[in-house]
Amino acid sequence: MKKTKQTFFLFTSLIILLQIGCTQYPMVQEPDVQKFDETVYSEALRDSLTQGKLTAGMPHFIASQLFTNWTEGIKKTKIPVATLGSKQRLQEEEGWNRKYVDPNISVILDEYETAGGKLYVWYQRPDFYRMDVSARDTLYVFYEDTVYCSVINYLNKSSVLTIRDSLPQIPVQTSLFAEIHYNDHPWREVSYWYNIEILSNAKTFKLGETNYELYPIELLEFNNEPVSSFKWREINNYED
Amino acid sequence: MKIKKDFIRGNKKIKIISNGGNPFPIPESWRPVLSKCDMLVIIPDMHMYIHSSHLDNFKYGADGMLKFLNHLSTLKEEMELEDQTLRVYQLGDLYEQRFPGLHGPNATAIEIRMSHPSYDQIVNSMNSIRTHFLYGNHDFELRHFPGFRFASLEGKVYIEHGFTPDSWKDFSNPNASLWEVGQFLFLTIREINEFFANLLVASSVIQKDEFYSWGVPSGKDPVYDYPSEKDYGHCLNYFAERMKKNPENKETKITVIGHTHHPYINTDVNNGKHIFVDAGAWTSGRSDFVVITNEELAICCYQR
Repeated sequence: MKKTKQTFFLFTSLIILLQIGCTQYPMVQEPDVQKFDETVYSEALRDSLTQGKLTAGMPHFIASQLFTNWTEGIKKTKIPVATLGSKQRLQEEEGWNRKYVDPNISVILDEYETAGGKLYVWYQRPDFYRMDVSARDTLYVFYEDTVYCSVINYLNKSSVLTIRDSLPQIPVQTSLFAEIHYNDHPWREVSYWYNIEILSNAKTFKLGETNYELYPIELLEFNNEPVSSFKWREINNYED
Repeated sequence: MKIKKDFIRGNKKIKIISNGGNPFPIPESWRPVLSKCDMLVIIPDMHMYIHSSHLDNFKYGADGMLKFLNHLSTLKEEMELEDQTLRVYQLGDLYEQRFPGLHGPNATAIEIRMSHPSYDQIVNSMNSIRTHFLYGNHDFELRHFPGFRFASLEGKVYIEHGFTPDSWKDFSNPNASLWEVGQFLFLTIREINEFFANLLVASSVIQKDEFYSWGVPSGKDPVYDYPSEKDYGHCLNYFAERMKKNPENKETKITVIGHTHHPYINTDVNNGKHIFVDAGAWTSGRSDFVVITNEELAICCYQR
């Protein structure tokens, strides 16, 4: 009996050691800088990307590209959650085990297990209400090497806002990059907008067509701590 | 408002397929048929499913849908400048939730929506033009959520997905007694279907992205025809009778449904007292929709 126990213990230990020894994470990939530069005009975000940092404000496709080869590593993506910071997958059940989820859920979570720890990335479908935009915040619009700025006068609806001064220099039906600098916000100074358009009155902006590749990353957590950035090159070095 | 002049506006992708390419005039005595808007556009069954799956037959019509929604968005903005309202409806079966899911036995709306950027963009675009959503039998679970209704009344136009005339034998009426059993069997068949599809891919008989859904056309080839009216099914009698007997909504003159994927108009229902319209489908190669103004109505298609 004792011998059996010893054999079992040795066998189990061997399996565990083998598992630890064999755990290999794929390399975190470098993102497509050209696509990023065509989408994002923020100097701060461009600097972060150059330094190998994934930060809040970047479009979600950067996170996807980093973990393109994560087929062998643990990766759970597009998890619908209730709020930023929540890790609980939302899913309900009815009838004979049929699942359903509220299609209006706007906050999505990705989870990646890396050599340095678990990374959680929350991103959300943007609109001016959800991103806490309000009157007296400042809109910066980037168009042809010039940055036009104006104070927001009011929000027409969740996807449309009107500024105080008209900007006739900006053409209609053009996809523009913009930033909104908050006048008074408890934890955020700026939000980034990858596709907005000005209407023919030269004062009203509407959100352009968007999809989850262009949803802004809102929150990052690494090793159970909220972090301002995820340094992917350090993770690759860690594996070496 | 006229459909050719005020809706199509020279867009060469949009064709009227009913009545030999001409809109039906709304009888003078019924006008106005719309009370809260000036133009009604009704998009029928789409059956969006997980984009990478062999069972998804919406993907071939996705680009066309995005272009069509762009047309509606521009039209809506221009009509608003003239103090006119365009109202858009989606008739139900927006999502195909009766097929296997990634995290459960059946697919959920979020899984489908997030399966491809175009699909997410389609739903975002629909929301941005304030589309009114109904639920159908293939996305019946959406009835739990705000913004999804069983039916709607727009002036004298009654709009419903159209599964109510179906019996339990069709496996397509959630109110039928054997719905749960039917869905369980149907889901099992689709799981077997997917298993064989993966097997065929592994043995290089079909390509990874090739469509392989038993009994459902792939949708790769577009279908722009107006099918024979003689082949139209049992929904006409049911809804004709309902319009005739309905004492609460005597004013209802037009019923629009989807569900059958068979575009059809009958302007002589109950001896010309009512009009019945089946909007067709935007899946399996079809790209139909219905336009109704106070003066005219037509079934159109959007060519890829």
